[in-house]
Amino acid sequence: MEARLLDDVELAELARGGDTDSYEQLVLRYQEVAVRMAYLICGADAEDAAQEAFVKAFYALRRFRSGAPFRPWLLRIVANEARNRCKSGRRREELALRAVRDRPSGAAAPSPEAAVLERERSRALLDALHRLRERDRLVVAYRYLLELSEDETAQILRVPKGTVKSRLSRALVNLRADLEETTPKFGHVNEGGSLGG
Amino acid sequence: MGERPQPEQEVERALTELGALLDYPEARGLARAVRSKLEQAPPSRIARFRWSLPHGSVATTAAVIVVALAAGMILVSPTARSAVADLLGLEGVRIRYGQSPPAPVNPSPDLDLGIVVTLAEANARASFKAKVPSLAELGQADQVYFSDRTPGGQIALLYRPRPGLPRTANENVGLLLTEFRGQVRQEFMAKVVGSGTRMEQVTVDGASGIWLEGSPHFFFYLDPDGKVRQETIRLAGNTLLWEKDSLTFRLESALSKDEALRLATHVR
Repeated sequence: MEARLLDDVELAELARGGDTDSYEQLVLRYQEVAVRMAYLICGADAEDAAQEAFVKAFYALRRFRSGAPFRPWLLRIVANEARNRCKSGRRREELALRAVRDRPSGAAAPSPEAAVLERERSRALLDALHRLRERDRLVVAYRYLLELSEDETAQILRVPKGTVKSRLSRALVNLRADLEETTPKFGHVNEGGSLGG
Repeated sequence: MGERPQPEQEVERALTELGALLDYPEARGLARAVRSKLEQAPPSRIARFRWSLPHGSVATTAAVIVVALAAGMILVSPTARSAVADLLGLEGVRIRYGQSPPAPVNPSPDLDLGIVVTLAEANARASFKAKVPSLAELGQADQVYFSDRTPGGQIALLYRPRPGLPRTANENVGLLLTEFRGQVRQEFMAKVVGSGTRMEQVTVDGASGIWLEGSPHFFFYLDPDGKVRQETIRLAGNTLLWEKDSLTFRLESALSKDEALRLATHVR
């Protein structure tokens, strides 16, 4: 049996007392999702936004309600930071796909043809995402790209869960309509079963 | 989400795939950057409360808070708790007051101390060499345990009750000395103290320590990997905690403070 690791709320409580060791554990746990979120929101300055958000969150811990889930509380601060940076006239960048060779390890390498198709399809989807209204795009990004729960998404956006559901449904319908119009190949490729396993 | 019409399900699947293909920036190194920013910040931003605490007697401050707990005023702010630990001056040690301390440990024969080994085996397995009390009247430990529950391992020496060493809440145990390694900069421990627990700063052979009398329950420490862990106290009894040579020692017994301190100075 191992001495158990502390959970988020316990670490947050210790961090609230000024303990930077405990806070570092929380940063390590959530730095990746924080940077990704900042990237999805603004495209640029993601690391800086996430870093600043973590610093702000540390000083805001006094307002963290003990016992509440920590991750959505933190990510709301990250989202605000990233959005403010974008608004304040800094550059906003389009999201980019990573180079083909950087596939996550363990993923089976597709044939060259399939790889090209997959890339085209992902590019088309990304473009369609950019054409969504911001609030719809965020729901999609949080739910599918960051894989946050419905509850977390609702908490971060400060909207009821029902709103998350309805925005998501609408966004998916819009995305499909957009793709059918702009990328006729999209559905066809998918049916071909050559992608995504 | 599986209730959507077929075409939307395809979009959902494609979105999930897209998540893995985006060119996200690297997050590594963020923790270090955040930490250094926090440490550069003026201390007042974190520890405003500290200024309002009396700087006189550490024991008085601790006693005030323990009394507050006993009186049911449990809402001591976390900042205050940490400030008390700072006032105690124990390097890297944090005392933590539980808002609702768990029920006292029910001593059982199985203290979850790991496997029974010889002292030589324990020393071979752990990343450190156990320090053993060299008091003639105490004699040898009746049992030595090793556990890998924490990085670097933990060695526990168990002494059965004997003349001069009264039984604890566990009738088979007179004294339990636990040793483990907490590494690097801030070896950090916190102890949940329930109402009715007396706490006092002490010096053990030149090293700072804390004496807890009453019913301590569990505490926190920083392991050699820098992770914060919670450890449950084995016996409901008096506890002397001290740190020396990057090791943390925990002496649990029914001994008085003076007796425990005397014993501790012989742990070398």
